[in-house]
Amino acid sequence: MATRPGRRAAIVAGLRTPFVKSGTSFRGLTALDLGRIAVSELVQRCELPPKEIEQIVFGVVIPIVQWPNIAREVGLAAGLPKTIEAHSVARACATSLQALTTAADAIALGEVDVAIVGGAEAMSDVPITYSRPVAQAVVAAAKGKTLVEKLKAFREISPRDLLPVPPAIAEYSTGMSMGESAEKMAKENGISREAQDAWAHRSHTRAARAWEDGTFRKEVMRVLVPPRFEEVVVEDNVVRKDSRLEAYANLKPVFDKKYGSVTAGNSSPLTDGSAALVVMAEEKARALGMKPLGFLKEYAYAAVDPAWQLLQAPAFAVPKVLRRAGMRVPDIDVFEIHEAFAAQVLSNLQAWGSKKFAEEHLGGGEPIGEPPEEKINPSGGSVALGHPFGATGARLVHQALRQMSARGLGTALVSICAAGGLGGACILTRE
Amino acid sequence: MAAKTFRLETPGEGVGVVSMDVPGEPVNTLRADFAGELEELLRRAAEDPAITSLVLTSGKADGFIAGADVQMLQRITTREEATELARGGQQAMSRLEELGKRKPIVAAIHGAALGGGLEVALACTYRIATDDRRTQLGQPEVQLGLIPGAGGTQRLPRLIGIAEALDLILTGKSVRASKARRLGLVDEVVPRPILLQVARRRAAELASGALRPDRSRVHLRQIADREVLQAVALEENPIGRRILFQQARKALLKKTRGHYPAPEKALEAVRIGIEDGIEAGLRAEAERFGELVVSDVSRNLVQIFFATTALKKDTGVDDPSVKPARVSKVGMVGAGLMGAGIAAESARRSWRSSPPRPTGRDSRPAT
Repeated sequence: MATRPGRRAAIVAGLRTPFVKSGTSFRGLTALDLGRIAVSELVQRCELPPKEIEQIVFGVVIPIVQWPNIAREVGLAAGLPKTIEAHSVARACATSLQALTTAADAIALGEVDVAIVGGAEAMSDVPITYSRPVAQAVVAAAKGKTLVEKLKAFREISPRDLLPVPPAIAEYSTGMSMGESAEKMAKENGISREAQDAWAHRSHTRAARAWEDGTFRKEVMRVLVPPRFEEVVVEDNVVRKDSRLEAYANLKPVFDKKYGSVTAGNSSPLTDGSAALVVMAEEKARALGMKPLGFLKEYAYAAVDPAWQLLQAPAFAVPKVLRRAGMRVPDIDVFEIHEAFAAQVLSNLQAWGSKKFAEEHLGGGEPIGEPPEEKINPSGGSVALGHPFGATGARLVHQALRQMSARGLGTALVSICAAGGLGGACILTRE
Repeated sequence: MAAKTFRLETPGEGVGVVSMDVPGEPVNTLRADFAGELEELLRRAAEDPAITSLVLTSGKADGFIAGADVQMLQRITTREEATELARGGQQAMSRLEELGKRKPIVAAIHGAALGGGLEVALACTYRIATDDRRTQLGQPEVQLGLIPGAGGTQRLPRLIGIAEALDLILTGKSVRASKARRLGLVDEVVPRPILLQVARRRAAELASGALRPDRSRVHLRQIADREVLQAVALEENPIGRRILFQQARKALLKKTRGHYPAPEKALEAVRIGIEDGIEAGLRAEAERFGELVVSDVSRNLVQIFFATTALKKDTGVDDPSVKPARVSKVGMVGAGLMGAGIAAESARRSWRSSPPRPTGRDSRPAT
C-alpha cells in the first residue's frame, strides 16, 4: 500500500460547539468568539500542555476585515502561549480540512510536532460593506486637508451607492448562487425531489438518533453564551427530532420556484459554529502518552469548472485519494460526506457509481462504485447538523474518527464539496 | 426503404412523442418528401386511442428544425412549382394544427427553430423552449430574399401581434428563449434537462383540460408599458391597422430602397391575412413565396449564402491532405483593427493569445 512520505500525523482530540441556525443562540458572537470557545475548551479537555503547541492553522470562509488572520487571534483569545505561530487558510467549505492537511504536511516534513487546526463561521455576523464609490470617496476624503476637500470627495455619490452591500453566497466567476448550482445538478443528473427529500429525512433521523443515544457527547461541547452567560447551548438546533418524510414534500422549491426540487428542507442551512482538532506527529503522541483517535493516511483535492456542476468535484477528489492510498471503496468502513444539498450528495454518489462518468471524466476504467448506503453518514450530515462553512471539515473528520472508535472500525473517508468548484477528500485510519 | 425521419413513441399516460431526426444530417431541415411520412405518422397518432396528446421534438442533440432545405429550393425552376411547394407545406401545418384541436401537440424546442422550423412550432398547440443560448427562434427567410411559406406570415401575427410579428418577419432576426417568452412566442421556458419531462406533463394537462394556453397578449404587468398599449390600440381597429401597415411599409422602403422585394411581399401577405382572413392570407403567402423563389434577387442571395458557408469550411489550400494544425496559443504582432479582430476570435476559441503590441506607424491601438 502506498504511504505518504514523512512522519504520520495523528489526530489525538477534537471538539466542536453545537451548530445552531444563524440568527439564533449565537447571533451575538463572531467567528473569532466561536473559534476561541472551541479551541480553549479542546486544549483543556485533552490535557495537552499548551507549551507543546507549536502551530495553529485555522480558517473562516466569510472574511472579516478586523482580523484577517483568524488563526492568530484565536490563539491569543484562547489564552494560549503568545509564542505559538499561526496562519489562516481558506478553501471555502473545505477550509478546516485544508487546515488539517496543511498542518499534517508540516508535521510530515518535521517542521512542527503539535498543531491545533480548525475553523469557525458566524453567519449571524457577516460583514456588510459599502459600495465601491462610497469606499473610494472615504479613502479620498481621508487624504483631503481642508473640510472642502474632504467634502468634495463625496460629490459623485448617488443615493443608491449608500445602500450597504451584503455578501452573497454566489460564485464570483459565474454569478450563480450555490442553490442555483444545486438545482442545475439535480436537473442534469436527474435527481428527483423524492430522492432528495428521502435523503434529508434520513439525515435528520440519524442525527436525531445520534443525539439521543449519546453519540455526540464526546464530540460536542456545551457553550455558555457570552457576554451574559445566561443561556447554555447544549445541542445542535437544526436537527428535527420528529422528522417525517411527508413534511418535506410540502416545502416549496427556493431557487427555481416553477420547476425546482431544491428546498430549505433538503439543503443545509446557514449555521453558526466552530470545530477544532489536535494533530501531532505519531512519535510525539507516543512521547506525550496520548492515544490517537486515528491517523491521516492520505488526502487529495480536485476542481471542476464552476459553470459546469459546481459541487461535483468530490467525484474527482475521491477517486484520486483512493488511488493515492491504493485502496478501493469496499476497503472503507465509514464515509462522511458533506451534505451541502441532498441533490449534491446524490449527484456525487451517482458519479462514483457511473461507468459513463468514469469513461467521460476519469479517463476510462471501472468506476470506484457507490458505497453501501448504511456506511454513509451514520450520524447524519450537514443537512441536519448544519453547515458553518469554516467548521464543517473538522466536524466531518472528528465525527468519522469517533464513529470508528465507537464501532471498532479501521478506515474512514471524508468527502467535501466546496464553492469555486473545489472538492477535497481524505482517508483516516485507526489502529 | 429509406431510414425514417420521424419516430413516434408512446411512453405512457397517453402522451405520444414524435421526434424528428433527419438521418445522416447534422441538423434537421424540412424537405417536401417528408410530408408523406409526417402525414402518415399524424394519422396513426390521430387514430390511436391510446394517444390523447403529443409532444413534437427533435432527435438532434442541439437543434430543433433549422428551416427548409435551401438546396431543394435551388432546384425549383418555375414559380408554379414553388407555389405548389408552399401550399404543400401550408397543408401539412394545417393538418398539424387541426390534429392539435383534438389531441393537443406541444412543441419541445431546444436549439434553432428557424423558418420552417418555427412554422412547425407555430402550428402546434403549445410551445416550450429551453433557456439554452443555442435556442433561437425566428423567420430568417427575408435574408435569402424569401418569405415564410408554411403559414408563418399568418400564424405569427395571430400569436404575438402584428407589430411584433412584422419586426421578426421583415428583419429576419431571431430571438432567444427569454425574449420569445416575453413576446408570447413560446408559452414556457425551462432548463434543458427537463424539457421533455415538462413537455409531456403539459401535453397531458392540455389533453385533460387542466391547462389552457394563455393567449391574451396584454398581461397585467405590461399595462404600464405605453408602447405595448399603443401597438395593441393600433391593431384592434381597421383604421389603426391601416396606419400600422402604412408606417411599416414606409420604414421598410427607406431601408430596402426598393431593391429587396421580399420584405414588402411579406408585409402584403400579413396584411391580406389580417384583412381578408387566413385562407386568403395563406394563398397570398404561397403565391408570393412562389414569385420570390425564382426571382433573381433571391437566387443571388442564396448563392451568397452558399458561398459564405463554403468559405467558412474552406481550408485555403487545394491539397485535401493538408489539415489545419491544432492551435492552443497565438502570438500577436500588431494591434490595429485586424489584430484586435484576430485576438477577439482567439479568445472566443479559448486560445491563449499574447497581448497585441502596436508595431510601426500604421498600427493604431485597437478600439
